[in-house]
Amino acid sequence: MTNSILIVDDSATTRAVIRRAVLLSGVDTSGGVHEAANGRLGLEFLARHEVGLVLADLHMPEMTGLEMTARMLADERLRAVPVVIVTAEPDAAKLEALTRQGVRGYLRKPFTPEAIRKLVTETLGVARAA
Amino acid sequence: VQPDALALPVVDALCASLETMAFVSAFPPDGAGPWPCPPGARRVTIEVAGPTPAVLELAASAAFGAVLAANLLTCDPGDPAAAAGADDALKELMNVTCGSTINAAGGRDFELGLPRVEPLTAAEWDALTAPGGGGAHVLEADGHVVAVRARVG
Repeated sequence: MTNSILIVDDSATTRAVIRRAVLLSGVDTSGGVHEAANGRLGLEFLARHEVGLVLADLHMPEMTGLEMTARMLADERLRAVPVVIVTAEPDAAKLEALTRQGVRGYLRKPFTPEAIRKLVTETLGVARAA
Repeated sequence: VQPDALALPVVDALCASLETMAFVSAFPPDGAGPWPCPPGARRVTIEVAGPTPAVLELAASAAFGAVLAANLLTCDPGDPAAAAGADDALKELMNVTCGSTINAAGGRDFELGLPRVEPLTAAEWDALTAPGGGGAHVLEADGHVVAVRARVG
């Protein structure tokens, strides 16, 4: 499994915050930490690169994180790549439903760097053990 | 959701979001106002669709947006990257505040819109922040005046 992480969020500052938290988390990111500004651009990146984990916002212009996940699940090469949603979505029922729609987990904004570290460590640990 | 149900949650959510995201503390300002319109005033708006539609608004200066961006990006507020990221930081602050507000109010089946940012005229600033008039809650954060308002229905 590649040690590359893709951050998909329409906020450049949020991408920068998540990137910093990931880099400080101690997880192996030797494959690089990459960014895309919406789901469509995320899919374009995934079509050309191997990625071990996607951290995606839910509400984004052009293509949401959930639409991106659905397209990944329909793609044999991408369906095993874990997607974690990082979102301000307030509805707990909607967040719980995400896992039934192929999302590996979610983290609600505002988040702390420690929450990102725990999320990335656990998700990559499970994915690499599989 | 009742018309005034978001008034207190939005203030609490804004303060918590500022603390968690950017290590910025917000307090009630000294005095009772009025608060003069700062240079480069901005308004961020998010529409919430659902059983009871709502609009959440945040007003602040571009300089405060730069402070936020600087804290998020771990650079100096005078860094060009902070100025470039000011609007984006204000939008993300409002996005997070809006989600926390609706969550705290127990709202379900709501759809958050995408945040919009626009310049705010001095007249609009005065109308929004007028003591007892505009319905916005005014706070002071890192020496900057920030106003937030939730309108339901």
